[in-house]
Amino acid sequence: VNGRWRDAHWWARQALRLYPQSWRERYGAELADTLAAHRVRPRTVFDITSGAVDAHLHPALAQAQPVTAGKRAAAAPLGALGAALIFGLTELAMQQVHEPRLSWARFAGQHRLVQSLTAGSLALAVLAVAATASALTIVIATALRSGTSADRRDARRGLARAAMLGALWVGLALLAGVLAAQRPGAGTRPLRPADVIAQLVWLASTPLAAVWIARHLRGVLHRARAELTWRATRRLLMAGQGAMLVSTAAAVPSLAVIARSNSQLLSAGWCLALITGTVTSLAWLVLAVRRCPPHFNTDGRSLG
Amino acid sequence: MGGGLPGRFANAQLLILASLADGAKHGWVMIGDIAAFSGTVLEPGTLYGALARLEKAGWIRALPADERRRPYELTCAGRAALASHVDSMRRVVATAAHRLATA
Repeated sequence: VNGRWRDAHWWARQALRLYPQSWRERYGAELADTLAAHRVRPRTVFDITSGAVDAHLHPALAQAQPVTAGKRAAAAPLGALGAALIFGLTELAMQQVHEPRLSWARFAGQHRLVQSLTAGSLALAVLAVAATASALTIVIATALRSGTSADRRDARRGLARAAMLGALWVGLALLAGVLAAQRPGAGTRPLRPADVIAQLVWLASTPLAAVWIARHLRGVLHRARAELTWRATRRLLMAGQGAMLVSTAAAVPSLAVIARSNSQLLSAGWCLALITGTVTSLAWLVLAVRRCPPHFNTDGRSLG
Repeated sequence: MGGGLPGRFANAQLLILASLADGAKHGWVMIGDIAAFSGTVLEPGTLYGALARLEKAGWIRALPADERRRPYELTCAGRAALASHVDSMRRVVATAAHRLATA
């Protein structure tokens, strides 16, 4: 027992206990491993002790891990889904308002009010799903290729979460549309201040969602430009095609509603969904062509 | 170098970035490498204080641990930050050398 008091390693290990719990959970094992291979002197013990004080003064260092590409991938589509949700709720609340200038009915005709509103919300939901799938194509493919295992895990979780939220939202829109179409008196009450506020909320949510998405995708895209390899680009291209197929498949159920509603805007929305998927795929094709050899060598690493 | 390398850990952060520039390394390999190329022996407490700051800044990232050893590697942002800092140091050295020669 007396010998340990003269053992600098023992003192250093005791000093490790001074670190906050969160710090020890994150760095404790590797710091102890480094200490075991280090020539420990009194100054080492002092260094560990002052490091523990610093860790207490800056607790966020061990708690807040950096935002990885995978986490950005997981967060990016939530803005689009949130904006689509707010829009859908607003439109459903407006179904009984007799004010065609503020609704899809301006284009569809008053006698088609309920149907067009329902189908319009559905079309937007489909658009949101298509846009989300396209955005996910970028971030998931990037994170899967060049990220760490944590990136890949976060990206997979993000994809699953976005898919579930998208499916849930489209399902709710369908259900609410069917229920609203069966209610009498649609399009009969006057416009209220609350309706205007709801429209303003929706108008504000769209740019906010765009900012949200841009903020989360910026870092990922920067990383994609720097680290994207030819093999990753090929995967990206395939994922883009997959996203287009998924968005097209998601739009199919709304075709029947579109046919009944006879809405020009809805038809335009349907076309836009297709155009979104097509343009996305073409963009990835251009990207793939631009990034292919000679910019990449045979083992898939960028030479630029 | 956006955000700079502030405080007690500034030199340690720069040495770590330089050490990781040629590939991923874990703690005590970093200490040995830094001692070899700079003559500075980093103590473990300083090393991990600097590693935590670099990781939080997004300039390095931890790779999956091999038993208790967790390697770290530079991120793109870290590589860009190191390049920016090296450029800045190069200008300082050139200016200092020029002024010493003409003084």
